[in-house]
Amino acid sequence: MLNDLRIQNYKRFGDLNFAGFKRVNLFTGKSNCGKTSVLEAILLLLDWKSSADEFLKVFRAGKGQQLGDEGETFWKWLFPLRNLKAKPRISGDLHGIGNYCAELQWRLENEQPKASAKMVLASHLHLLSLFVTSSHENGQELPRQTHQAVTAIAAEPRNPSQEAQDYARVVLKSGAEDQVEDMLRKIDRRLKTIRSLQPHGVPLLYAGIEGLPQRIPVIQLGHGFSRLLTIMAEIVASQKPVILIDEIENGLHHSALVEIWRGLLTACEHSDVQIFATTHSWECVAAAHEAFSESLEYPLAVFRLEEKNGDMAVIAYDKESLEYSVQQEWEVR
Amino acid sequence: MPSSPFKKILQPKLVVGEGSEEVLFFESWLKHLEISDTQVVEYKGKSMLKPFLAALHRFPGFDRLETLAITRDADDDPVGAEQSVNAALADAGLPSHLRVEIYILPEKNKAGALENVCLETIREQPIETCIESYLRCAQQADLNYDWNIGDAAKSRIRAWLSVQAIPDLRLGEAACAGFLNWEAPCLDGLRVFLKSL
Repeated sequence: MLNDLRIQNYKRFGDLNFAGFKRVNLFTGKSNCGKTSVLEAILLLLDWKSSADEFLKVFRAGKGQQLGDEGETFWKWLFPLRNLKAKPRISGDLHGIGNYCAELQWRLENEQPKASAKMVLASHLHLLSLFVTSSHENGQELPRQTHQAVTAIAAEPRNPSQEAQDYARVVLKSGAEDQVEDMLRKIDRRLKTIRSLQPHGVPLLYAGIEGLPQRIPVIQLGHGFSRLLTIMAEIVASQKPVILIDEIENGLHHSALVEIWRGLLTACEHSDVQIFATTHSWECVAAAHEAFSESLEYPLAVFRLEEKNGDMAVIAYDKESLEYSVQQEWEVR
Repeated sequence: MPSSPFKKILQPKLVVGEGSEEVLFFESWLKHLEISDTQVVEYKGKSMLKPFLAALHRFPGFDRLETLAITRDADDDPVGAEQSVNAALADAGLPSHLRVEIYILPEKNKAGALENVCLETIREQPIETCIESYLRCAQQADLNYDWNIGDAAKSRIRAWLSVQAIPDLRLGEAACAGFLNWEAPCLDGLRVFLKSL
């Protein structure tokens, strides 16, 4: 579990501090305030083994999308105001491991890459290096096992064929299918089963729905249904301890959100997964608070990004302040 | 006429009161005083002041707030009321740049509430005698319980409200309708407080 996070000189963030992460962590704030960038920062910090292509495209562009000269259109923008002398730095405290730091450095073309660079992110450029250390001051590297695989779910739908293939992980794990199907019944109680089938050339997920003459491809069902299916499948079967979800409320009706949060929490606790998600939805935050208030540990932390004097700041909500804000229908986004 | 829900910090100064009556009362009075840079918000009961401050601290645009004025009824313990407000403030950990003022109603070191402030404006007027006679008569007729100072003030203010030009208004609404004498000398202390924010 990531306990806290500090982001310095990364994109538009000067120095952001997030303290007191819980099992479920929500990032709110106005459009363009940098919520998704916070998810990217966590990805960079924890999952430094993921490929440059994966990092670039996970939230910003789907796989197979072209961004032209990625150095110009993506990588240089990780530096504040494209100042390549700045060293974007992301650090955090990992439960049971200690402080953990990732730093980006842009290397001049005639400069030799440093041996301690963990990964050349923009491999085709050979200019951007990621340093992963336990302490920025002495440069001491962490043991290899401190890498944490992260699942990232973008706001846009995933490739349905890939989803169907990935569903095999759920099927293999004892009890996981039931968990996923139980959760999806919170959206559509007519659901009987989910199956990965290939009757027409490519694997697709099909849902058995009461009253329908045959199984229906999940892509024909609502976006919320597919999205929740993706999220639940990742939680119960991916075996990755951290899941990042952009715009978690997408496609989900507010009336089902409390039940969905209860189900997600149960699944996260069972699989020991920590969620970091962005949302624009007041109802989503309120539902999470309602669902998690029942828990003694109150496993929810909400962070709103807000511009203050031209820089971004973090407003952290605890249970008491969120309780009052939700009761009074105050803005928390 | 319900008070408007608090959706945005609109002014650099904020007066907070226990409930919607206080909001309407202070809004009317500030309007009468032609003070336009002050917003009024309720914290929904004295027990909610602590969570209110915790949430207010995180409200969008809070950093633009310059002055926070907290009002609270003394009830029967003016010293305890002020201590309670100070304890809530200490817990909230508000930023040091924010100016914070406290006013315990009806006035310093006196027991009572907002109703007592309003009753003072009709003191020694003929209507006061009528109200006292009515309550005495009612008590002698068949009511058999002890009033504390809070209840008595509420009864008196309701009796007064019932004989206004619009007889079914609540106290805050009556303030908005212009039935209170904002120029009464007994309001000097609170007037100075509002003007000094």
